[in-house]
Amino acid sequence: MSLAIDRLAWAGVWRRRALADKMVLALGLMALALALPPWPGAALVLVTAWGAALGAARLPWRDWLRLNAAPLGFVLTGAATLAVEVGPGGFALAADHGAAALATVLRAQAAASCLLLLAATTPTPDLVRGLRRLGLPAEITEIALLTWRFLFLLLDGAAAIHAAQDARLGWYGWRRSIRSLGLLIAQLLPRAMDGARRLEIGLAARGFAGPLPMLSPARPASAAFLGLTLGGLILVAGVSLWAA
Amino acid sequence: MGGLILEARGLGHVYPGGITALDGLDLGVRKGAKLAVLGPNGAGKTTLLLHLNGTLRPSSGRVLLDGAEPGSSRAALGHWRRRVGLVLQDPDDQLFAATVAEDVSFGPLNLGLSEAEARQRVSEALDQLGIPDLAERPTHMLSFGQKKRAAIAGAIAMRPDVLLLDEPVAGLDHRGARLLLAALGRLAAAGTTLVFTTHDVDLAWAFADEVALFESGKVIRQGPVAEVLADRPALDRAGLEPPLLLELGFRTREEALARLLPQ
Repeated sequence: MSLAIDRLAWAGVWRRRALADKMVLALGLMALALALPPWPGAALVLVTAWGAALGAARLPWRDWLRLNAAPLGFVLTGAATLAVEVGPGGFALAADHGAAALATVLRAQAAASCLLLLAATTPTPDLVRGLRRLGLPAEITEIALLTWRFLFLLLDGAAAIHAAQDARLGWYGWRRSIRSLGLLIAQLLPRAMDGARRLEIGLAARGFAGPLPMLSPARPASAAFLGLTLGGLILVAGVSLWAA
Repeated sequence: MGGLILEARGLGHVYPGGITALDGLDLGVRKGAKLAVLGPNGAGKTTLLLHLNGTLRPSSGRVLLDGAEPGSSRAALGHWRRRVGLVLQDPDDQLFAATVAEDVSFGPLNLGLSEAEARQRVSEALDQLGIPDLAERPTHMLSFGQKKRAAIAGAIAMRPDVLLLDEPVAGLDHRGARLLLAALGRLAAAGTTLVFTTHDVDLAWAFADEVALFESGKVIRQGPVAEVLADRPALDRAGLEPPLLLELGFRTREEALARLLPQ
């Protein structure tokens, strides 16, 4: 089993691009989204992030829309409370006619899109290894990588149990679903423990003695990409400040 | 084939709770052999493999590597496992890294090899298993057959003298099994001694050159594949049927004898 965002990251054309390239672009845009005035700053960041995702990184637009839909749902729910006021006469449009709500939506969605751009083009292990290069202790990054790997085994286990329950009508009706969910969770824990024990045997057979050494592919940053990114960031900031 | 490289003498193992998995087992593995440990499910075959590479300690008896007990210190276990590789039945129990190449590099780096040497070992192991194209693939997105071959590549990258495989073709379709057996055949031809557990007599007949029949924690018969698998009483004791081809041969002979020697 695989998660949609994980599949995109492994299959995308930017998978082999250096982490530094993608981080400078995504985090740089995010910093601008947070620092610049929402209009037109956050709007420009949003357009740039979507352009990078759909144009340069060639992410499938359906998947990209689906990824953005989840944070947008949260953002819109939060913004609704800014757009509407409750008075003696009931609900009414806010005094600023929803300007604050629109600014929040723009800023939040622009920042979320920047984060999604990084997540949908970079496999999780690359991110973890990047954190290690930035000084995070090896013990923490190794545990993070093992947890990430185990997540998929647990998802596989959960999918198998769910299918077995579903085949015997375990997910028909509210009560039965709750009961099946409880049984599923109760089954996953011993499975995970058992899997961890067998993994330990497998690692020991290959000389495991504490650390988990692995060869990682070297992906040097591209000066041209970084130059273009910095130029783009300056352009977005300049246009935003001039227009504001 | 050469002399014995790995032996179990009077090996016994009792799991917590008093469950006896091995009961005074004797087994000899000849250098260069393809030995099938044949027995029904739950007979203790996996427990035997875990003893043969030092993962489990016996309750009684001993395991010998080149005629001597390998010892149980950290260094001795390291040396033992470098020489005797293990591939578990479920490849997900071995594949822990993000990509196939990263996972295969784990063993060579644990041997203290340089990055260049480890890269060379990874490349060789993937070539031997016929999966160089999977090097950069994420391990959680492989098919079961691909995972099996990646797990074996991780073991052979350490260049073990003996490779222990627990039910190597279990769960594989015909094509997957054929690819895996071809890869194992190449390993055997290159001099690696293979010991694999199975309950499939046809697999043992087709691939092994020696068979150990396993029953209730003991090896009840060991010898050349053609001799052991023709021993119907021993197969009956182990709860197994003769290979299909042999069974056909037996029946044809019985029918021919009945025609030639009518009562």
